[in-house]
Amino acid sequence: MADNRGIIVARSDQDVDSDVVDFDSRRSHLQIDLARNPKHFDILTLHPTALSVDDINMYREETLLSILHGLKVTPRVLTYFYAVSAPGGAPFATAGSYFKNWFPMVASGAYQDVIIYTITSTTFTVKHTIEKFIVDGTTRTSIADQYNIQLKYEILSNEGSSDVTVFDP
Amino acid sequence: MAEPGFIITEEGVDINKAADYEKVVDSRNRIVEVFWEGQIDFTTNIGVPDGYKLLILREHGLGYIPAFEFLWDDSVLDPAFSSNVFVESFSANNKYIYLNYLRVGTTATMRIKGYLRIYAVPITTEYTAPASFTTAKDYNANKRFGIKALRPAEAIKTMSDDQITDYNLHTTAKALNIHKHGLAPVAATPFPQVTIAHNLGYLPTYFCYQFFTEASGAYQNPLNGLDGIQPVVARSAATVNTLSFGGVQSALAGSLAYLILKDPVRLAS
Repeated sequence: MADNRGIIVARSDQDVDSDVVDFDSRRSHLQIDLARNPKHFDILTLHPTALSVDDINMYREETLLSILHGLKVTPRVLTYFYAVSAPGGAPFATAGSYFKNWFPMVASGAYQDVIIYTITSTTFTVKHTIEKFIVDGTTRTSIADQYNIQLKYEILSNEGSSDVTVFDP
Repeated sequence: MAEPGFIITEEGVDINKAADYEKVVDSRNRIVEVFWEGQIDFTTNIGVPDGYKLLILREHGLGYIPAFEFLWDDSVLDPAFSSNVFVESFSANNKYIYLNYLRVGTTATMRIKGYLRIYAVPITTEYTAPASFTTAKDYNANKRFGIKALRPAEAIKTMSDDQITDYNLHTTAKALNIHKHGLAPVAATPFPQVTIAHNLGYLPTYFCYQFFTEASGAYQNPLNGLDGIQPVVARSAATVNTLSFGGVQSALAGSLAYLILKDPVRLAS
């Protein structure tokens, strides 16, 4: 058994058998492989375009980033989207906004204009999507091209889950 | 008395002079350790549709409220809205991880599938790393010396295994260090706002949760009066020194429990 050996450093005033220790090599921890190419940790500027949807084509998407992660599992991914600048009157994400997991530019009952990510057993993908929810004769055009958006992503060397929706905003 | 611990530096760095960013591991730095993790996949009876219910996903028994995350497998159920179940949130107290749900349809069972990770991080207590540990720098690609520790579950593997996901400790990978965790009170206004000073000098990696207590009231407390946390959905903003969250009414009432991590390497931003 490998779980009966390891390096354990107790926290000050705690016993080494405590659940609260400073280091325990038997436990996994969040980690990033910094030697990977493509990078598993980076900050990039995204370049989404002004996609349009109407009553015929109610959903459109474009891929902004696609990375083959090369891990044997579907990894846990952390993403943070930062609006360096934003268009005047933007209804949701304004300049300085810093969202985890997604970047909502418009999120209303009529339509949604967002940047999201997906992770599979092979690929980390960042997408810009726009979708209409009601047929109202109105063409909706994305304002994404008017933003300067930075993405910080971290592909952890830790297992995640397939087809993930993350409950840790 | 000397402080116990161990330090492993990058190749070529004097251990007596190494800065934090030049270390593979420094046991004095707190890292995001995992107390328990694994796939959860079971089908359970979810009762009659008469209001929100609690379902225990996992007993952790830590005695404190831990940071956690649940990665729902969308192939089984749309976790936000379905014709049968509305999943309100996941939550934690000092003993359990819960799923909070509302049955709205006619099916009496629900399948729950996803990956649960419970961190050995008492997120509602206050901690700030010593300032000397905050710097990051470019990655050092030298790898002639190193250290590896396989995960216990991977004991059948050998140390020549090249999958970093099989290791708890690996020179090539850097552990994410904790910069700060604790509670930040949220002003009780119709549009509450909370700002946390992190002073990292770059935009941080973070986890955040709403912290509720018995005094929060039933409307705001999904654990029926127990102290606990649940992931929070809020508008957020950041600078290189602060992290802010805003919500509406009970969406962000009480306090915010946060966990802010250090970047493992310097990146241009």
